[in-house]
Amino acid sequence: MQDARRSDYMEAMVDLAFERGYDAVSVADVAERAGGSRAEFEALFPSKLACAVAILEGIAEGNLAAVRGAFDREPAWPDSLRAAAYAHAEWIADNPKKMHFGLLETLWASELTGALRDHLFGEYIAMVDAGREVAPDPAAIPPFTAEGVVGAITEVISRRLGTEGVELGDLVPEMMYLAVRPYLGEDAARRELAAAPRRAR
Amino acid sequence: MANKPDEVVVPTGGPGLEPDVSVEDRRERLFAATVELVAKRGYRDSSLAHIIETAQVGRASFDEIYESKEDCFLAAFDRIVAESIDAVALAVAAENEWPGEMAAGLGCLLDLIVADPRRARIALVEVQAAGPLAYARYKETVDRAAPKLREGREFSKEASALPGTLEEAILGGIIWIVHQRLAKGELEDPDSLLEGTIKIALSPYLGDDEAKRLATATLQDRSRAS
Repeated sequence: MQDARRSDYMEAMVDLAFERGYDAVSVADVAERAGGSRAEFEALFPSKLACAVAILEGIAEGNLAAVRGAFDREPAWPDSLRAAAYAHAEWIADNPKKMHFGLLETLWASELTGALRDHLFGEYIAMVDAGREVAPDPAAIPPFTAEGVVGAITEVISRRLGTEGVELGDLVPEMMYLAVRPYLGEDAARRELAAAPRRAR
Repeated sequence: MANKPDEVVVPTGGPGLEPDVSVEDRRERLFAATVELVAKRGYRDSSLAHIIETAQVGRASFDEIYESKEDCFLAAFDRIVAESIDAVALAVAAENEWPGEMAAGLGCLLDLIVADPRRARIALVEVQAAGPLAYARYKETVDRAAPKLREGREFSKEASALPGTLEEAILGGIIWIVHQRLAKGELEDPDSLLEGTIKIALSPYLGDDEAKRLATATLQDRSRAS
């Protein structure tokens, strides 16, 4: 019961942040939307930030289950990374409000969410950097390459989030070009670029 | 670079100095206080009252200059960006080709970051946490650099086949790498950072070998110059 109520409040906060921005959402607003009260909110969460952190934990867990799962099902890189990329695009399409909450609203907000972000991005970085295992010359690849690739992809996605008519899956070949190029070289990267994007279900 | 915040002396006297202080002086004090506080405590945890107190500027004169904490912060961001652009323009003036300009420009930006990480924190880290307006301003600033990077396509054998998102991706990737290091206070090895960012920025246009050669040459020139 308590878990269900927590979920109600978390969902209300995600919805409200999507509508008006996290900073403009008060605990009172969340309580009203969830059909509860400030007192009930405070019994379930120590603060607004604690509620946001709980939401972000859930987002990270759900996203990683989808992305890491797809990655692990493919035996070889970059097939595994491509599968992860499509799973990520699909997850974003299925969870627009959560993605908005995670990426645009609160990811940079505090030390607490920073630690969570580091964990999540650490996982993405590891999936990209698995390219070292198949790279012909791993020593020539700068140490922070995967970090830069993940940062680049995050930048491209965050610019397009919520834009009408943008199918993130269509961007996968371009993102795969970026990720594959440092590890396997220009030719392999161009093959990724030339592949037709796989359309979502 | 002119006007490093360290050179701005914030007097320790009481609030009595107000009437003698020009608008320019107050602006300067507010800039120094904003950089100092926001870099140390973060945008959200730096209150307007604290900024005003640190700057030794009265609330009334703050209100004459800025509308809000956000307004004051954006002015600091704009100033840091403008001064950085001037410094980069100076650094690339001696270069006559795009690859050299890029390497010199990246070297200059890293020098600025290492010389004053507090300003870099404002311009790269805190601006992304300071609300939608600041975030939009930050994006606009990044977008201004994209056309310069795009000139590299002239050096690529198959420029038309390069992804359309390449420039925003490269800029996003480099900023991310620097952002992560600034946020954690890890800037110990600027040479390897410069070498890596030159490779990341130039490889897609010039190829790995040429980008590597240029990165190595840039580091050698710098160690000779210093």
